Amino acid sequence: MVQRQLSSDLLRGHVDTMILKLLQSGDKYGYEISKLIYTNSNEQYEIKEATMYSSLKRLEKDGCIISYWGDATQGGRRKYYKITPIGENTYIQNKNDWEQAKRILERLL
Amino acid sequence: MIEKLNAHVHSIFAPYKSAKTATELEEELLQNLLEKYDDHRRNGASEQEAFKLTVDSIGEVSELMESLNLQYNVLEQAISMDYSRHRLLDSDFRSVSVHDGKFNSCDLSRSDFSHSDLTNSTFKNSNLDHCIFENANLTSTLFKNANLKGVTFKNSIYNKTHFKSCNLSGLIFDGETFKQTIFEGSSLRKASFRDATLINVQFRMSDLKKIDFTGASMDKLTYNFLHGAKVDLSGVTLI
Repeated sequence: MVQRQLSSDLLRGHVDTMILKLLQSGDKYGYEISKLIYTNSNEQYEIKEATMYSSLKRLEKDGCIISYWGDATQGGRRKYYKITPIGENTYIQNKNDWEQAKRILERLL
Repeated sequence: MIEKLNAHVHSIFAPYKSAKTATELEEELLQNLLEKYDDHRRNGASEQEAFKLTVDSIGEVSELMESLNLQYNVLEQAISMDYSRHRLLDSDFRSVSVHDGKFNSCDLSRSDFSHSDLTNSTFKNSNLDHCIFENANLTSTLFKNANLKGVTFKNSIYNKTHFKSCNLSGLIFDGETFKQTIFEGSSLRKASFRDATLINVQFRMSDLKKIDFTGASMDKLTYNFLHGAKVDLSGVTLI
């Protein structure tokens, strides 16, 4: 598996929004989120655990998501994340901000 | 190899093991990494390759630790009263007004704060064993790493009160009204909120096992927070 260093700083700034989007289709646990980011990016962006957790903790602190422990599976238990109404609003706002930034950057770059 | 992974993750968290949030994050991270390791193995990686790929995927450890220690963002305001680092056992603070008071790192065991106005005050790393807060105004008061064992809370105001990393196990908040109160990284095991009213209350990263909300009224936001944490809300009225 090759790790592409594709403008990772640019992508990192949007991890919160990526996670909020993923949680809209249902509660997910950490590894599920990182796997989906990898596959949905066509295997071009592999998020580091540290990056993901700093985002998850921030989102939780801001009330965008809540977490709960699931039942134990083979080996260990998983902590699941759920989007809140605040998170839904933040997602819409971030998405709009991005669309606007994209239009501006396309003119400038 | 799984033991090796376990040991690696454990060594990252070893300096932080006193914090409950660190222990939980360690458990969570290890579970992710074990599944990731298995997937790498299933995809044909050797044990060594899979181990390396898995450990590399952790990224910056410092970033991980910062996520545990999110800055407390309420401004430390100008001090009007500073009682920090004092032994004030059995003190009588009844009916006093100590806006912005600092009661940090002090022993206040069995002190009585009834009818006092503690708006914007902080109680960090303090011992409040068996203190009394009756008819107290706790607006925007911060309790952080405070020992609240056996504390009596009654008829108090909890607007924007913040309980962070506190042990509130078994405490009784029956019939109290909470507005924008935050319980963060705290244990509320077996705490009682019978017939309490909760509006915009947040329970972040807290232990809510066996918490009692019988007869409580709460708004939808609070309800959703608790529902996600699988708290028994059968006796709750939505307002």
